[in-house]
Amino acid sequence: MSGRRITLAITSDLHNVPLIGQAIQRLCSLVPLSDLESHQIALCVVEAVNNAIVHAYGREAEHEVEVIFGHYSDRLIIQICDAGRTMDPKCLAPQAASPLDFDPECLERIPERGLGLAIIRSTMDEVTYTTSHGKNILTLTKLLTSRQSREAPLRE
Amino acid sequence: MQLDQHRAGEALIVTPLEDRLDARVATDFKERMTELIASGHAKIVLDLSKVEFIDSSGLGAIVSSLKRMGGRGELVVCGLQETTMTLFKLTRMDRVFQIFDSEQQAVSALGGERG
Repeated sequence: MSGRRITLAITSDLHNVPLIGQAIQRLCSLVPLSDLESHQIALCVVEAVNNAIVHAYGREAEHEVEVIFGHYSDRLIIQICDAGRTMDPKCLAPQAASPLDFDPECLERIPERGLGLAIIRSTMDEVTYTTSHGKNILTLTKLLTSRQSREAPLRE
Repeated sequence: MQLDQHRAGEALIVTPLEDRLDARVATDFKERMTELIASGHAKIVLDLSKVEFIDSSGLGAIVSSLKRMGGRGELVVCGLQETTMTLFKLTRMDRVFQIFDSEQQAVSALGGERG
């Protein structure tokens, strides 16, 4: 599959996450995606990087989180990689209960946590998680519409 | 994080002066809101007009503030930008919070002028 890829990396500090978010949003705008679409994809990447820092690395700094942005003819593939604790694969199982299925009239049941993965799953077309040789890779795929696909990869 | 606060009638208007309400600042924001609620403010308008980006941690902190009111007061939201409104809709929080376009509308609603 031909396309273009760019790799971004930050150390595992939440203060570095906006850098990744803004970079992804800009890359999406070059696809070109609309401002809103670019924002939503950047939000998904921010959520994934936050999870890597908070859950995989337990908020320890000095680890690396890598984001690989790939633009192909019919899709975007974004991989978020860490070398920390592995996520429970049940979190991404199709039958996993969504925290978004709540009763808005029941104050206690309105979710405060666990929304990140739900946002990612609602926004992206495919989400997979693999671990190999100590490296965890969350892969987010967004299919491009025919209008978006007609544009050359990463407009210059 | 920087929060602007001012009163309008019975309501306290709280305006985060950051363009991002995210995991970096969510804990601080939640603590500041907890202090305001604990000090007796029962009608709060959260003006998010200056916030361009909210992640799930920021949203969770807003939800936490609503829970902290415990049904004894009201916390409403105004000034959402298109991007942040999309997050509220995506997470179905638009069914939880009263959302107003402007501070004036929010204050009016909290003043009991709703039909």
